[in-house]
Amino acid sequence: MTDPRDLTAVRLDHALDRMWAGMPTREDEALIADWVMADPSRAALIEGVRTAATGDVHVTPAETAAAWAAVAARMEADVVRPITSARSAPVLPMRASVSGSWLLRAAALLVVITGTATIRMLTSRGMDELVAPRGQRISTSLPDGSTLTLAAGSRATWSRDFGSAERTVQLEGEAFFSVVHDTTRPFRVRARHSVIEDIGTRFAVRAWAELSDVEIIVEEGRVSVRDTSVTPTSRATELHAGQRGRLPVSGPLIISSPPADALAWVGGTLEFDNTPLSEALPRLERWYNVTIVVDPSLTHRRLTARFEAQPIAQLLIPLGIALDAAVVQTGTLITIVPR
Amino acid sequence: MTLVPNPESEDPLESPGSTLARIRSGDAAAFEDVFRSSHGALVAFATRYTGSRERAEEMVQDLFLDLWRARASWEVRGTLRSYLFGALRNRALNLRRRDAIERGWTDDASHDAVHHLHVTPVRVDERLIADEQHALVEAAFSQLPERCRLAMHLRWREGMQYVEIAEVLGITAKSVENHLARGLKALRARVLAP
Repeated sequence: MTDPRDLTAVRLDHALDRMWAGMPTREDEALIADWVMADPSRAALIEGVRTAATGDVHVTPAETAAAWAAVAARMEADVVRPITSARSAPVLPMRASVSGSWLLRAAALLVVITGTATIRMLTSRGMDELVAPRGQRISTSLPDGSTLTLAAGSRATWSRDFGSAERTVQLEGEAFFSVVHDTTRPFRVRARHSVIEDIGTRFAVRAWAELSDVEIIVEEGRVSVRDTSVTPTSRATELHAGQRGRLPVSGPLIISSPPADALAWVGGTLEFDNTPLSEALPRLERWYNVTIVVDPSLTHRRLTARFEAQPIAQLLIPLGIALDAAVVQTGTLITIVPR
Repeated sequence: MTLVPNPESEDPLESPGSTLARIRSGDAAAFEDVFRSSHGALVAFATRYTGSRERAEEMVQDLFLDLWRARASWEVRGTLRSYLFGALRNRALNLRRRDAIERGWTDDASHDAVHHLHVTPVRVDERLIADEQHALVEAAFSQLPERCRLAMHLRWREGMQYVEIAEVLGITAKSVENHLARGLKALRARVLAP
């Protein structure tokens, strides 16, 4: 049989629990009152228990306001993720901090980074334009909540009324898209001779002038890809998560699996896997905002390397080793010659 | 006459549907509402893990920044409130785990950021050490299992139901009830002993 003292104690526990949780019954209140009255020092004790359990952290509205201001500032700074500060030779810090501010939807939107480079969102002819200059990559939110990250040296434009009926982004260069899917308003990326339409997805598009193909890498979901160079209404091919599609000019879509870390650049890592120099060097040039000149006898070489937030000076030696060549830097000019 | 509920009068933490839809579409004002209505409670809860108000503040701000970045794919089961507390708990546990892995690196100054988040045990507030009674309560409380202390915090500071606490801590509602009962019993035995 249960000790009646235990029973009382259990009832008291429940009463205290409900009181502290803010939902005491009248019986609870009476029980606690009686118990405290029997020994008034118990009032301090139960208050002590409550304080120990709930902590003595009190956040004032002013502190919350200050915390929100800090978060909001980081949300805004997030829009621009500089890779380097342009024109600061010879050593380019890859992750310069952002100083300055951005004004959303101003007539001309101006983002100033470390005082040396500017990124402008131009609004002309009813179009918004975002440019990631060489040496910088930029992320932004589109009016529909989708986000895009532009690789250094790329440009994206979209209509000012983006999202009202359809959502189309015109891309030059390379970008990563994370799309808020909406079947009533298709999300399309037009890049060179291709149109990529989202079917609920995160994907990247590479459409550089030096590459003969437009390349699409799907990280999540599906997209459909159409070649606009043949006929405007040519058939679309679907690409699924984990697939890479390469669309040659006037040819069918070639589906393969993408190299590991093909999307690493989005997070700030430049990755090459047996990449021809003709493709690797323009990427490096844009990424670091440098000019690279290579001796003709080396142009057939391939590059396998991973560059993670290094300043350019630290890239020269590994680049030399990877190519078995001598790499010389003069300001923003990099020369690669045989050893 | 039909009464139309005023959406602005809804608690954003209690009605995740419409609030989430707005946040997903990039509505920073809706996001701010959620932040403002939960910030204080989350900082208090995170302090349980970090032992430091400052680190707790940092953890809460980082959580919100990450939620904003991933807003397009933000899914919530249950209430937004239990989601936020649960996400904060995961973050605290991950940091603790990482800290355990990297504990051997103490000599490396470059890991300041990690060590900064090193979790210190709940300490007896110095202001109160003089007061024996409080010291006794604190000591008794700090000997309870962590889950028990966290359940008490959520129950008595936030007034959460067992089910909601269960969602946050990743345990069943029944074990929440057991934790609270055992915890109270232990405290009573040591402190409130009649």
